[in-house]
Amino acid sequence: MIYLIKKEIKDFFASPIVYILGGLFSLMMGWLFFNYLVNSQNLTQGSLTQKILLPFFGNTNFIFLFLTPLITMRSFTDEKRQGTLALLVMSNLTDFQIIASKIIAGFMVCLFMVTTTLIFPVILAFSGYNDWGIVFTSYIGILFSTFCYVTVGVFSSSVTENPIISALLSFSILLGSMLLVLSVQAINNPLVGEIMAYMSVPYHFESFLRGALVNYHFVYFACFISFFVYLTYRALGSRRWS
Amino acid sequence: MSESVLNLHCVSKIYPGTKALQEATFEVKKGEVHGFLGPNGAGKTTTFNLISGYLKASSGTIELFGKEISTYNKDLYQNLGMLPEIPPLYPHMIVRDYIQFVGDIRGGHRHRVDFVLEKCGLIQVAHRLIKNLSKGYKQRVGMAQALIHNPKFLILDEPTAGLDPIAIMEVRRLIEELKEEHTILLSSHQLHEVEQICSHITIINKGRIISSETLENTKKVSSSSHFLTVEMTRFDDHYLKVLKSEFKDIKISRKQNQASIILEIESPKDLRSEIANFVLTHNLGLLGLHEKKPHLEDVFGKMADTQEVRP
Repeated sequence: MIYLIKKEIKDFFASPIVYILGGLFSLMMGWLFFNYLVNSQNLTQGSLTQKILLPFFGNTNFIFLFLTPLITMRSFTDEKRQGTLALLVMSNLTDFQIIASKIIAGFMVCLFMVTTTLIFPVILAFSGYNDWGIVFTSYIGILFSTFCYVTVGVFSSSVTENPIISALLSFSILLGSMLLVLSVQAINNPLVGEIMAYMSVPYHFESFLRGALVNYHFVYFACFISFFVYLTYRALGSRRWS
Repeated sequence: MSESVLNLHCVSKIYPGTKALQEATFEVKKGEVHGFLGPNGAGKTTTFNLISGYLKASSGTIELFGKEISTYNKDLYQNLGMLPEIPPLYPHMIVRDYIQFVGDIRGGHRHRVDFVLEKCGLIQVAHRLIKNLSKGYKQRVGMAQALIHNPKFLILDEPTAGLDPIAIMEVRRLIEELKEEHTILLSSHQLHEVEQICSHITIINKGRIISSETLENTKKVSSSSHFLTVEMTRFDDHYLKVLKSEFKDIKISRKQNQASIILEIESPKDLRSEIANFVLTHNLGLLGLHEKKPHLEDVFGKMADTQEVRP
């Protein structure tokens, strides 16, 4: 499995898309951080965490919702178009190992992008910022959310041969998940509202931004990831449906 | 009796609205070079995909090395190498890296990379990107990936399709070398090539296996008629009538050349001696007489034509 992960990561970094998306991401993050920083000078109330870091991490998560479909859209679509899926299927790798390799490689690219944002908390540290607990939990939240987005992206690429359709499908699923939080406000029934909120990724991510590492959020992420890995497994196995 | 490498028994594959394969039954034995012939859309690639485990049969059993592959068994595929019609290549990889990668995911066959590159004549392009290679070289890279794990059984799906004559000759030479050590199931549109390489032939048309025999038997079974070509200096309608009256069951076609007349005679039995006597008796100026042996093209055309339309 390690050979496939290595090959996938190598493929990602051999293609210009990672550098284009990475550059775009760094530019947006830098611009956002700069604006929050400048605006914070005019505010007399609130901490650096509330005025800079929380909105900054919130936006990071939101931007990944758009980036991960573009990163993962070729995961299986290219394999199908090039006929190399049969090569992988006939190898010693199981379908699960193939899927896991694709997800891990896609996640590593996202991790690479996330690491470029570490500079911003470091900049705040020079001005005396020291609430590292929030920074830590926020990064944990971003990584879990991103992992979820990658699994959705890999699933979408397993059901089509067209990378554009794959990107649109995963974007629709992720945006739909985010909109669930907004729909909650329009529902009078508190139980249904609670269930719908629980089903969306951003609802759980927000808890990490508050510095809370609550076990049921981890359960949610594990269930979300397992569900889409299972769907991908079924989609990949559908070629053998008789 | 030689060991069975592949055995298909009543294998069907049904896609919605199409029966891609209908109760296909044939066997490939150890050491054979088995030709798998059929027109486009006959079901050849579907059959290969079923054997490789990429697809699952709707019904029937497929045995590889005596073991059924209905439940997906990875160990069975250790001894199967496959070159699909479109070689499964990663265009952005270097040839050597690609072969190494396939060797690794096939279970640690990295040590065979140099051997396989040399065997397939890829040493001089080993450090080039696959996307920059010619079609002939891409085909060889495809062949190398099928050989990296030293399989006992090779499936080659139209290995010479779309290649120029020199590349065809090189691929054919490679197959000739491979048949010493591997059992090969080969599909091709180059019927004369199949005739030269293969010892056994299976013919498929519209999803049905029409024939699965040795090359010689395939020709015999499909062609019960004898074809004679007779070249003479003179022949007219009078002799045609006489010939037809003497030999009742023959079909004759006549061609007029500048200096000779050629008769093509189809008969249910061998009439070489009788026809020669007739020509000599009537002093028709015999220039040549020979039996036309059926070619695989004739056999294939005849068999393909007699099949009903697939539902």
